[in-house]
Amino acid sequence: MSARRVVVALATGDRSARLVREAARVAARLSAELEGCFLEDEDLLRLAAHSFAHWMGSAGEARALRADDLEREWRAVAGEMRASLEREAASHRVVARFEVRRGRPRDALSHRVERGDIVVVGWGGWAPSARRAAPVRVLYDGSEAADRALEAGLRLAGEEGRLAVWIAGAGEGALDAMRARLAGRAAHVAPMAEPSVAAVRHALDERPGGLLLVPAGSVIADALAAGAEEARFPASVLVVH
Amino acid sequence: MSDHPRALTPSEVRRTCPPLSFATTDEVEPLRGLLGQARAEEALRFGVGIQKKGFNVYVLGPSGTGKHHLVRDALASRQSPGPVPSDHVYVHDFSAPDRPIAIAVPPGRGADLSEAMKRVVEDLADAILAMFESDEFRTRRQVIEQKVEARHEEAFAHLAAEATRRNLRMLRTPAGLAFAPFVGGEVLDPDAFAKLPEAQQNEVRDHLEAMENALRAIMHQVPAWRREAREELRAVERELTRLVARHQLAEVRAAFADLEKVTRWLDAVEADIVQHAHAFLPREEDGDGAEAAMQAALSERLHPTLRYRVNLLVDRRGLEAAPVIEEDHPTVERLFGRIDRRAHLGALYSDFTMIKPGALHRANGGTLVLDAQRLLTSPAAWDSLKRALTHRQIEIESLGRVMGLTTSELDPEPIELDVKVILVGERRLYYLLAAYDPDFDQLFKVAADFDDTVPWDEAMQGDLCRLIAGMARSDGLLPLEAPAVARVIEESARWARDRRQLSAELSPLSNLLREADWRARDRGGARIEVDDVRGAIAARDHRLGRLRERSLARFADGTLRVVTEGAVVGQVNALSVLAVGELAFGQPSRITARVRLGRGEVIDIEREASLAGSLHTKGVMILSSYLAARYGQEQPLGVTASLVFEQSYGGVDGDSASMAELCALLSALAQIPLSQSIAITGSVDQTGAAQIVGGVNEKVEGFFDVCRACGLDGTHGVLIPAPNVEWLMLREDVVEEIARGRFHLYRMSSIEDALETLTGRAPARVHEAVAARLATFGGRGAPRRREEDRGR
Repeated sequence: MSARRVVVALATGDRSARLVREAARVAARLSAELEGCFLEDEDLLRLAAHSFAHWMGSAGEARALRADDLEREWRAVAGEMRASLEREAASHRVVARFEVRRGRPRDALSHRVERGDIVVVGWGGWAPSARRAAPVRVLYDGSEAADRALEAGLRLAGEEGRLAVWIAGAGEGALDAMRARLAGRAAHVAPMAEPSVAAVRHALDERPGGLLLVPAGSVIADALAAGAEEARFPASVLVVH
Repeated sequence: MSDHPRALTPSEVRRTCPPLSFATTDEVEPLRGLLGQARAEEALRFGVGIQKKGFNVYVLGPSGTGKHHLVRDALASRQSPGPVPSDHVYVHDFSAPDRPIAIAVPPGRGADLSEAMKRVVEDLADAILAMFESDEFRTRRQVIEQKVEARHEEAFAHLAAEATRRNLRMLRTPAGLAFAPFVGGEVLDPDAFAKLPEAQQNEVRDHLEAMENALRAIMHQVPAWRREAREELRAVERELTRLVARHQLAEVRAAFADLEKVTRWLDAVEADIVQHAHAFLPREEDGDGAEAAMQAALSERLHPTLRYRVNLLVDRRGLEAAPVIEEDHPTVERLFGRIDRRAHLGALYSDFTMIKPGALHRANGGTLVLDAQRLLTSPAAWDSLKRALTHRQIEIESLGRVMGLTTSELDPEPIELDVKVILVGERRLYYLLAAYDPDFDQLFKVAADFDDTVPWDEAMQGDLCRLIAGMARSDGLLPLEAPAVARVIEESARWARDRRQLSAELSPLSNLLREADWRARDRGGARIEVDDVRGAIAARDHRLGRLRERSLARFADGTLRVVTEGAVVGQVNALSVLAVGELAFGQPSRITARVRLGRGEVIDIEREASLAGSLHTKGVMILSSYLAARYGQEQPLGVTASLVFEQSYGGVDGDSASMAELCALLSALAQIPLSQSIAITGSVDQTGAAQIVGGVNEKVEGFFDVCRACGLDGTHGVLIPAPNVEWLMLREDVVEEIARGRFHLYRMSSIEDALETLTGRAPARVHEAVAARLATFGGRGAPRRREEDRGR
C-alpha cells in the first residue's frame, strides 16, 4: 500500500519552514498528498489568562503574554505557514492541504493520522548534501507499519540510492529473509538488538543526515510523540502509520 | 626641326631607353630587394639592430616604394633577432581585487602555470568537500556541536528540572518562551489561582520570576556559546583546509619555485582558500525559482575559484626568436589590450580573466610595425604609445578612461615594456611630427628615408629590368618583351619628372604591368609587347583625363581666352600645372601688363585681390627689383605697372610665371609686341637670369595640346629655363611633332634669351625701347595711354 498522505505538524519559526520543505520533497517522491497542520497551543491560552503571564524573546526581555496578542501572532504565523506550504507544494507539484487546529501539542496529530500516513518529524535529511552523505534508514520491527515504512524507504532511496534496514531484535533468519526480500537493491541489512532511542541516536551519529523511517507504535515513534529531548535525532524522521 | 639657336632637338626633350640585351623578362634574373634604397636599407639595418632606448625607427617615403617590404626583409634577415621573451600572465590580487597582478614567466611556462592552476581549481572543490565530509572533520565538528548542544541542553534541562521542581513548565510561544504553573498536568486555571492563598500566589509569582531570571541568564549566554562554537569550528576548518590547499598547491609550488612572484601569489592563493573554504561547498538548501537562479548566478560570478585562475595574456609557445608583430589597425584597444565586460543581472562587470592582450603585449621583447597615418588618426593612440615608450610599460586603459569618460574599472598592474617600434609612413608626417611633437625626436631617433627616385644609370636601369622581371613572375604576368620593358623604363622616368631619374615607386609600376598584361591577354598575346604598355599608359591617361579634356574644350570654344598666334604688346602665355588626385596637366594662362605714370610700383593685381600666394608675390617683387636695378639707376621710375593672370579665379602661387610677367611688363614698356604662339615658363632672379621651375613636362604638353587643338603651324613652342632641359621627358606625340618641326622647345638662360625669342628682336633694342619709354614718363610726367596698342 502506498503512502496516502505526508503530514507535517507546524508551529512557528524556521523549524516549521524547513519541515514543510522536507515534507514536500518526501511527498513528491512518494506521490502522496501533503498536509500541514498548524497547531495553536491551548496551554499558552490558559497561561495568557493569568495576569502574571510573561514570555521572553531571544534578547532576554520579558513581555506580557496576552491572549489577543497570541491570536494575532498565530494568525500571522499560520498565514505564513500556509503560504510556505502552498509554495513548496507548487514547487514539488504535489496536492496540499492546510489546517489550523487548537489543542495540546501531544494530541495534535493523533486525531489526524490514519493508516498509510507518514508524519514528518525533523528536517534536513532529504537536502541534496545530506542525501549524498547518508543513506535512507528504515527501522523494521515486523509490524504492518514497518512493512509500509520499508516500502516507502525503498521508494525514497530510489533505484540507485543506498538503503539501510535495521532489523529490531531479530535473529539470523529474519536478517536472511530481509536480505532475500531486498535482493538486487543497494541495501544494507543489520540487526539492532534493542531499538532504543539511544541505540538509534548512536547509529545515526555514525553518519548524520539522511532519512529515518520508523513504524508508528515503535519505541522510537512513541519517544518522538512524547517530545523526548533525547529523540532529537540528527536526521529527518518519518513516522509511518 | 627649328634652326633657332636655342631650339631643342628631339633627343633633348625625351630620353629613350637604349636597346636591352634580352628578348623577354623570362631571361632576366629577378631583383631581390628594392630599387636603389641603399640609404634606407642601411638606416633600417641600424635601426632594427640597435637595442637602446629611443632608437625606434620611422620609415619615411612616398607610398608604394616598398617600405613595408623592406621592413619585413630587414627584420627577417637580422643576424641576431633576439631571444624569445617572457610569457605574461595576469592573476587576481587578493589584497586589491581591482588591481590584477602582472607576472612575467619564462617563455612557454605561462601555459604550464595556467594549466596547473586550472587543475588545482578543478580538484580543489572536491578535495575540500571530501575534507568536510571526512570522518576527522565530522567527528571534530560533532564534538564541537555536541559540546555546545550539551551546554544548551544541560542549561535547559536544568531549567526544566528547576521549573518542574517549582511546579512550572516551559512553553513555546510564537516568538519566545514562557513559564506556566502546572497542576496535575494542566496549566493552572486563573480561577484556581485566584482561590489560592495570597502567600501561595506570591510563591508562584516568585517562582516565575526566578525562572524568568534563570532563562534570561541562559538566553544571554546562548549567543556566546554559539560564537565560541563557531570560532572553534572555523579554526578546525581552517586547519584542515590549509592542509588540503597545501597539498593541492604543492605541485605548482614545486614547478614554479624559481619564480618569486609566482611563489608569493601562491601564498596568497593558499591563504584565500583557507579564508573561503565554505564557498567550495554546495549550499545546504537548494532553493527554487528566480531567487535560486539569481543566487546561482551571483555565486558563479563571485565564486572564489575564479580568482585562482591564471589569465595567460601572452603565450610564446612555438616562437623561436623575438616576435615581430604588424598591427594594421592600431587603435588604443588593439595596441594596449582591453578589459572585456560581461552583463550580469543588469550590470556590467569585469575581472582579471577578461583582460585581453594588445599588439604591444604580443610584440613585447621584439618588434612592432605600425602604419604612422593610421596610428595618428586613431584617437589617443599616438599619445598612449608615446607614454608607453617613455615609461617603458604597458598600461591597459580603455579609450573611455583615456578620455576621462569612465572612472571605475579594473586597473591592471602595468607590464614592463621593451619593444622596438617601427613606424612606416609618409614623409610629410615625419616632418610634421619632427616639427610639432617635442617627444618625437627622443622616441624615434632613427629615420629610414626612402628615395622617391633613383638615378637612371646603366646599373639602375639593369636593376629596374630585374625588378620588372621579378614583378612579372611573382604576379603571374606574361613575360615582357625588351621594347616593352624599355617603354616601362621611359615611363618610369616620366613619373620621376626628370629624365635623369627613375621612379622608385613600386605601386604605379605594378599597376602599369598588370594593365599591360591584361591588354596582352585580351588580344591573345603570349608576351607583353610595347604596344600593350603604350596602350595601358594611354588608357590610364584617358581614364584620368576628363578634367584635362574639359579644360582643353574650354580653350577651344573660347570660354578661356588664349591667343596662340600673332604678337601682342604687354601680353604673354605663361604656363601652370593643375593637379587633382593622380592627374596633373598643364595649361596656358594669359598674363597681361599695363603701365601708366606713377612712382615706380609694380601692382600685382592677384595679390591686391588676395588671390596670390607668397611665392608669387615674391616673384613679382623680384622682377620689380630687376626693373629698378636695370632702369632706375639714374632716375626714379616714373611709372606704375600692373600685372594680372587673365581669367584666373582660383588663386595663383609659385614664381614659375615671373619670367613671363617680366616679359609682358617690358613689352608694355617698350611697346614691342610678344609672340603669342610661344608660351613661356620659368622664374627670374634679380639679375634677369632664368631659373628652374617644376612641372615642366606637364606645362609643355599642356600648351602643346592647346596649340594642337587650334592647329599646329610650325610657329608654336615653349620657352623653358635652360636648367629644365635636363628634366624633359615629353610624351612621344609631342616629340614626334618637334621632330617634324611643327612644335618647338627653346631654352633660355636669361631675360635676354626670352625677349629675343618672343619679340624676334635683339634684346638690346628692347631694353633701349624700355629706357626711352621710361625717360618719356620721367621727362613729360604723363603716359601716352594708347601707344601700347600700336604693336597689335
